[in-house]
Amino acid sequence: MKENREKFIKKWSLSHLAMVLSLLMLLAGCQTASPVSQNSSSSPNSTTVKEDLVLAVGKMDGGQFDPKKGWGMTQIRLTHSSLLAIDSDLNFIGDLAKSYKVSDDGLTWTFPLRDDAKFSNGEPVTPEDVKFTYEMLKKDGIKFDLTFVKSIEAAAGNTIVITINKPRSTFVSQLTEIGIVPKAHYNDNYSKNPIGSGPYKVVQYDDGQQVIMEYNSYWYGKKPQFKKLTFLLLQEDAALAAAKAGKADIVYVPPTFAKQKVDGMTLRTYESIDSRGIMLPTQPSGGKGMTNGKEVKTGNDVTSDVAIRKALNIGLNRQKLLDVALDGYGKNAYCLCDNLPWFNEKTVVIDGDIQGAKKILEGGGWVDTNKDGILEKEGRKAEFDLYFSSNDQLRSDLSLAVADQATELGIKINTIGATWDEIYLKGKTAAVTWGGGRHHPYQLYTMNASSEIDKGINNMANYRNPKVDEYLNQALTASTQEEANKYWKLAQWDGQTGFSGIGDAPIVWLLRVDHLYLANEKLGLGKQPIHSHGHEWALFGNITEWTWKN
Amino acid sequence: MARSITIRLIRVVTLLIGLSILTFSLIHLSPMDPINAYIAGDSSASPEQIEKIKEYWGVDKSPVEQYFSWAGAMLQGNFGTSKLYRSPVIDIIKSRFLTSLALMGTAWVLSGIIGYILGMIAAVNRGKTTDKIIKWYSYTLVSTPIFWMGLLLLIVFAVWLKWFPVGLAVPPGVLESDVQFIDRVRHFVLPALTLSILGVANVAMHTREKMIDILNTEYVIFAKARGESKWQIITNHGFRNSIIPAISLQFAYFGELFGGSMLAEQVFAYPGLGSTLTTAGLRGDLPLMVGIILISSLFVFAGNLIADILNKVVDPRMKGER
Repeated sequence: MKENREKFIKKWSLSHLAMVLSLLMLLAGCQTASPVSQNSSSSPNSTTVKEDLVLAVGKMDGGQFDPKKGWGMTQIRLTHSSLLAIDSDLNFIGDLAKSYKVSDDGLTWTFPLRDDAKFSNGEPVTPEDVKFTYEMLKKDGIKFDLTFVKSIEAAAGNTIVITINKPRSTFVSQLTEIGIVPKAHYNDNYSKNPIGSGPYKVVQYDDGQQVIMEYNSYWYGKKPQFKKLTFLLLQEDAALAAAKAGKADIVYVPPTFAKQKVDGMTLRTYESIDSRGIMLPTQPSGGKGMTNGKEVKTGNDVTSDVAIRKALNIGLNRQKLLDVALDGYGKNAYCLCDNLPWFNEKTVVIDGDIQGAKKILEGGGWVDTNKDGILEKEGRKAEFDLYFSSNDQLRSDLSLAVADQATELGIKINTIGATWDEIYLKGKTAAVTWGGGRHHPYQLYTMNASSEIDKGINNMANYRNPKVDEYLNQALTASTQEEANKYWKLAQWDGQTGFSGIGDAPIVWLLRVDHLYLANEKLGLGKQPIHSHGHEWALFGNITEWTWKN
Repeated sequence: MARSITIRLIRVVTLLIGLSILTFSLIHLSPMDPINAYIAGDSSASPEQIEKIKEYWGVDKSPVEQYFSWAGAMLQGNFGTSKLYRSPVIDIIKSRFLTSLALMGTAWVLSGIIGYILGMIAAVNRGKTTDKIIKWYSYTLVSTPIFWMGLLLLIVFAVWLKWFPVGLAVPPGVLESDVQFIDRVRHFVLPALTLSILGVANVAMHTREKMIDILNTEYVIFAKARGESKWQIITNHGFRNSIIPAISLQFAYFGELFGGSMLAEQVFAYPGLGSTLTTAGLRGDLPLMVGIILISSLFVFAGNLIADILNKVVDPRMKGER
């Protein structure tokens, strides 16, 4: 009797297991049926061109297609058009504006608009829409700094005239970043139904999940091959899993995943200006300053010695750092703007030069008197803290490798992982692993001009050099791009001084991160421009050139 | 009964007030600067802009002032505006809560039933192979991080077997109006499974212990002596006595369930309340965070309340206790 009961229970548990399993099978069965029906609806015969792409390129939560919420800080090309655009050779070219003209004093910018531009709802893009967008953003003032703009006027002949308070050559870059919104349809709910004049329109935005875009039939430019784009907002692990499951055509991968093999996909490597370096306080300790509106201490007695900064610039071996921090997927960096039109090639040095670095340190008065391997000067050890963002793998690897290499020069670097909030408070008294890099030179100004000290997180090194300030101001107020570039280069190095590594080196730039993607081998991504800081949208600037070869 | 409900209501109100004060204080004590989080390291914000943001968000006022202005609005049913999404907090919570609720609900029911049954089976077969397997399974699972479990399921069922999708709540690239119910179910299975698998272990092990205690009591020995079969003993004595700890545990598990769903939602990019809370926390979005914390504590409180009420229904002896 007792045994029977036990058997019953055993049987029962087995049957229960079978039930759960069959339930799973049932669900699996449903799954196998659905892709067939999906495929049959999208491609009636297999020879037609592929018209839709699935992309998993990041968690793009920010911006939400509204410039007021930050849309456009990197790339807006897919859904919006702006007055100007950047081509793959980094020239500023017309987009909504056919061309642009700057007055000799650099104060009046005139833009004749193209007549055939339409929003995705078919309504024409008018000068009124441009005026509305710029005035709205200037008034909001949070995501775009347009305080220098005096007025925006719609002139006769479909033309926009923007007057600014003082010349600003970097204004041209903001003209490429500000997406134009329709005056008639813009309100606080714009994100829910964004209307723009780019090649694609957002048809569905499932926050935190996916963005579905379709071709905007009113688009005035070259027709793209792909009618539909689906962006999966997956994190890196899940995105790689999606690629392996064959669910995505292109996936962003961090360097640690670069060696992963996925059938039918190839690794695409794109050079970027996304740079990393070590920011070093240039003032002696004891000062006070501001960071993002908070009072902080400033200065460091070791890093304020230019010999230390210059020695690090030539003493650190950039190729070895690349191998450690990026598995080699990157390039050396010598300034914030390597190989861009405003880069001064003279700042490139032969690095890993330990003897040369030691010579500089010796000349600066740094000697190892007590033979402990660390240099001293006036009783002070060549030792300082280096902060890095602890949730950033690349920056922590880089920081540790830098500290390791610096010991060979007799410099002791204590690495400290912290949150950005803490780094911003401590960053003016210690070194910080810093990043940056844009398609325009304005960052050169914000990171190195003395007028930027205490503003936001600009010029964290509290760097001050009157000669550099002079060049930077000349560059900023130049009325042509060529003239501006000339001064940007002089500010880096004029033969005597400059903010680059061979000059005062407030930031020793070390490497540039390659942007890596796993893409279907049939997908052609056109000629990619050098990418900027922040990988999410960098890829899509030339979406109309993308092709699919069967 | 009425009195105890009144006491409970007073408790929940004080709990919510305390929680909101605690959250506000913790945020202000933390080194996190919401302005930094919002600018996200982009260096183009000028001091004037930063002042503007502070003013716009009201963070230029003292923490106490901020709290009272928030609480005042709250009393009128206004949860405030999310800083990150720039839309009303209540709308965000509404749209996310149902998704999370479905996920947690399914996981909860599944883990409760399966856990209880496994616990019973283990107790009845104490010391035998079945018991050992169930124990081994439970101990392994209890010490398994939920996100790791999620990744494992993802690799096995989505990448290798391709039975289920790799993430999201709906099929990629399909418009909302074209999404079939069965698609939603398919996307739902893996996160729900992840969440329930881990809940099973807890209930199973507690049920097993309780059941073993019951099987060792004198009334069970007496019942055996009377000639009752094992099955009769379970239905007559075991079930009522062992279901109480299971129910208490299961409802008290609401809190853990919420924490687990946060991680599961992250792994599967499942757009629920948990993943929103993570974003709000990391980016210093105070109104959204306080909103979600209040709603979720109400949820956990409700769980405990239901557990108490059910206990009294199942076991009348507990009515007298407080």
